[in-house]
Amino acid sequence: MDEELEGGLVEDDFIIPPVKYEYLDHTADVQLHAWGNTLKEAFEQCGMAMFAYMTEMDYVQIKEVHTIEANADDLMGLLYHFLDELLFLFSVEPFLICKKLVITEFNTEEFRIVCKCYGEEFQIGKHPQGTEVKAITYSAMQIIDQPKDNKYEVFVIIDI
Amino acid sequence: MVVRQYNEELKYLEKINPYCWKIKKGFQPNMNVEGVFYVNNTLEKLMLDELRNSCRPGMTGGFLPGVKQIANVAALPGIVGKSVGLPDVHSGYGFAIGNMAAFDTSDPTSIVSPGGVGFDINCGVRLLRTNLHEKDVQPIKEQLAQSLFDHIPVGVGSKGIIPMNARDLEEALEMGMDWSLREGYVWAEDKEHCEEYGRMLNADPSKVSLRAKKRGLPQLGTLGAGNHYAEIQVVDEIYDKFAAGKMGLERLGQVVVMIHSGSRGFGHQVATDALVQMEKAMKRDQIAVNDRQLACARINSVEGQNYLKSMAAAANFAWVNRSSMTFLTRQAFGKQFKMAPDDLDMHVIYDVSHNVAKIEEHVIDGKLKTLLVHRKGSTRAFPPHHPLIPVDYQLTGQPVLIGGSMGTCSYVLTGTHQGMTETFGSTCHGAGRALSRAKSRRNLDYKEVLVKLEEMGISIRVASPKLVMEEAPESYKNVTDVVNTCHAAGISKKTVKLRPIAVIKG
Amino acid sequence: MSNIFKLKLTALGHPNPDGFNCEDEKEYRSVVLWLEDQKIRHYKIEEREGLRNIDSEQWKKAYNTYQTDLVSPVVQGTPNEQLNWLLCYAVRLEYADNVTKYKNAKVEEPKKAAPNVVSSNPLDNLDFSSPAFKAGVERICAIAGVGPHVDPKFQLAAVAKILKSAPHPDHPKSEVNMVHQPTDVQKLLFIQDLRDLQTKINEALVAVQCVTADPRTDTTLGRVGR
Repeated sequence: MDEELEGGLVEDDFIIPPVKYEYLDHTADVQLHAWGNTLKEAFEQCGMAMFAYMTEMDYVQIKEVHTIEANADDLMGLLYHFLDELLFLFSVEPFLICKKLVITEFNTEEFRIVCKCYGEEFQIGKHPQGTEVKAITYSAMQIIDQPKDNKYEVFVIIDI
Repeated sequence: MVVRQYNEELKYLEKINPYCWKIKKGFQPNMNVEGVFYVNNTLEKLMLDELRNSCRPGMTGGFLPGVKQIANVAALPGIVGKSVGLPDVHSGYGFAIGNMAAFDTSDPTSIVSPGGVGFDINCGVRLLRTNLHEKDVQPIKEQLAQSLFDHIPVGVGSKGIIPMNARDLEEALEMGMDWSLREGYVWAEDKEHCEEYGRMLNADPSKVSLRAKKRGLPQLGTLGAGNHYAEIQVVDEIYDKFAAGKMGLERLGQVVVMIHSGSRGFGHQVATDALVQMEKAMKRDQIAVNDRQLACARINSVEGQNYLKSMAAAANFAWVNRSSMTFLTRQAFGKQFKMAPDDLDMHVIYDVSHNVAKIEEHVIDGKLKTLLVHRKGSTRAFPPHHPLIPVDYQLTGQPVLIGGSMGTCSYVLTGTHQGMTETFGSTCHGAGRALSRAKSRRNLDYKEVLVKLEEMGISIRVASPKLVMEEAPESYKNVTDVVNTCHAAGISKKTVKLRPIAVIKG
Repeated sequence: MSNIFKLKLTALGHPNPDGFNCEDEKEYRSVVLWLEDQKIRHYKIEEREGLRNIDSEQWKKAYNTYQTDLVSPVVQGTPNEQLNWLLCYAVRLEYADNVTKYKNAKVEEPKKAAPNVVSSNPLDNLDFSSPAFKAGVERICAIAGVGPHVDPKFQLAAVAKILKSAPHPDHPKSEVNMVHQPTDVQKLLFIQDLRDLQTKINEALVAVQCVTADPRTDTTLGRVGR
């Protein structure tokens, strides 16, 4: 067992995952493209891509952890609601800007996600202001889930 | 989507005059009415290029081209007249941005669509005048820009500085600007110069999700980010002396303040919530549409009514938001010039909404009809003598405020009778994007953009540096092209041109 | 202000209207006392004691009571406003006492400096009742789309309003316009009424604001600017 640090965090929580996302061209908005070794990782990366668009990640410290839950009727809905929950976490108390996301429950049959969100409260002055994300959209949303080719990718357009 | 060669597609388009194209039925399936869009030569090229690109093989994903979106809207149940694309049209979520469409409320199958309003409900522009001249402001321009930046919370993660609790928010959602008025943040005269007098009466906060309220509360009184801004501008050209005079714009160099903002996270959440509800309603009522993004519900269904009531609450939120920033602007100017804002004559000239749906009466084929008019990235532009415009503008027509992009000019237009008959009293709303954000960031240099702005004599305060490239004038369609097209097509009339001297942005 | 005081004091027969200095507290008080003693006579002589003690600190209180008793509308106003009202009141009483005397008073007309000039402006000599004038007005009205009215001057006023609002009337002649134009003129005539109504609404709103308004900001809630 790791030694518990401040805010219920353990040492492993401070390991930052590698970046597996990019931002694609879109006229008025921006398209997030994320991938991973599993679909779960692609989802996590997609969430982190969204946060990285709002500020510069180098300035964000992991100080607290919050847990969110998302439920939906289908896989696209699940991605949509997952991101919407993350956006909500940023928009209201605790105003959390996340550096790291770990999905602890990834149920693609009942379409349910439980995710641990590591980061700190967004503070103007400390965190450079990036672009505001207004909403998540279903527009041109794609989820590539091909275990045969070990290919897991998601595409989401966020409204900014 | 129907896939055809570009040349085949063009057969469905017809240029009916130098500024107007018709989209014939059949361009997209099930069109109930024809489409129409207004462009000049430059904008026409942008429009058709977008269509041509989408016809290239292998083009999937992203948005449909604007022309296709206008045509898909023409296929929605209950639409009357035509689906109209304004000169600044570009593709958006479901409806194109710069698209207006009216639905007959007496037809039980008619729909209301959140995509036809947009995520930023009642995003709009407010213009305040002053009695200052450019030469009064020039020596202290930097200080004034800084003062505005210090007063108005901007950018991602900023929070409002007007103390509000959950109960205040409920009241503000119900009362709109009447709330601001009651609390003393605005003047009585401000109210009469707003669309709907700054309050939609059908607002019902109880139809709004707790989630939306939670997102909205900390953000009330904040400018936001993206294309939102507060600008200090000067009168650069007066085209219509009489109408300008009625607005209190008497001379060149007169200083005004333009505020462009909307309903923030609150409006976005209301729209998001409604889209979820409407997907269910569409299945139940078997509403067929060409594009999944055109989620909608019958106007008279529970979902439709709930949306209209919560949309009205979001509209009220936006008015309170712009009113709070009016208050902060007046304070900033008052402190800087050590004068009371009323001695600076800081009256609201007008306040327009460009993302909203409203019940309005229009004449269709000689008959008066009650319609639900969707305007997304489109501004209401009612003609002279219309009963819904303020008494001060009865002779001039409704002022229409067209915000430029960063560093470019803005315009004040007025509504015309021709616009009333051709476009349901609607006109353009701004420049409209031409380059993608990522492309802007790649192609434009941060420093170069700033130097260019400085050369133009524009002070700038921006919270997010990358926004400087994304919002650079090069990323947008030329607002002058857009406005000139509206003027030449007769759907609104140029009154005043405004030139920015200081910009505050998220 | 002092000029107005001088005129009114002269009219009332004050012994020294030219020398009165309203800024001098003592002179101010004597004039108030003089007005009550000689002109207004609202109190019995023994009740005027408070006003008579010009040097007393209680005088102001007595003066206030006096004004309240006279139902002066400007008790809350500046001393000059208060005095002005008292003077007007005294003049009114003086006139009421001697209506017949003053009714016949005539103001001497100052001789006009310039001789009468015959106007060369043809508009000054227009005969508004002449058939030519009527016909002319009818013709303009037809162009501007103003409906018929018995009084051509009335129609002309409407045309003027249209011309002011739309310098180049460009009204296509269609049946729709036959209906629209007269209604537009009607609306023009009511714009002023509407403005008055809106102003009254605004005044009411301001009155309510006096009770409810309490705008506050709290910069600790969020950092603004940088």
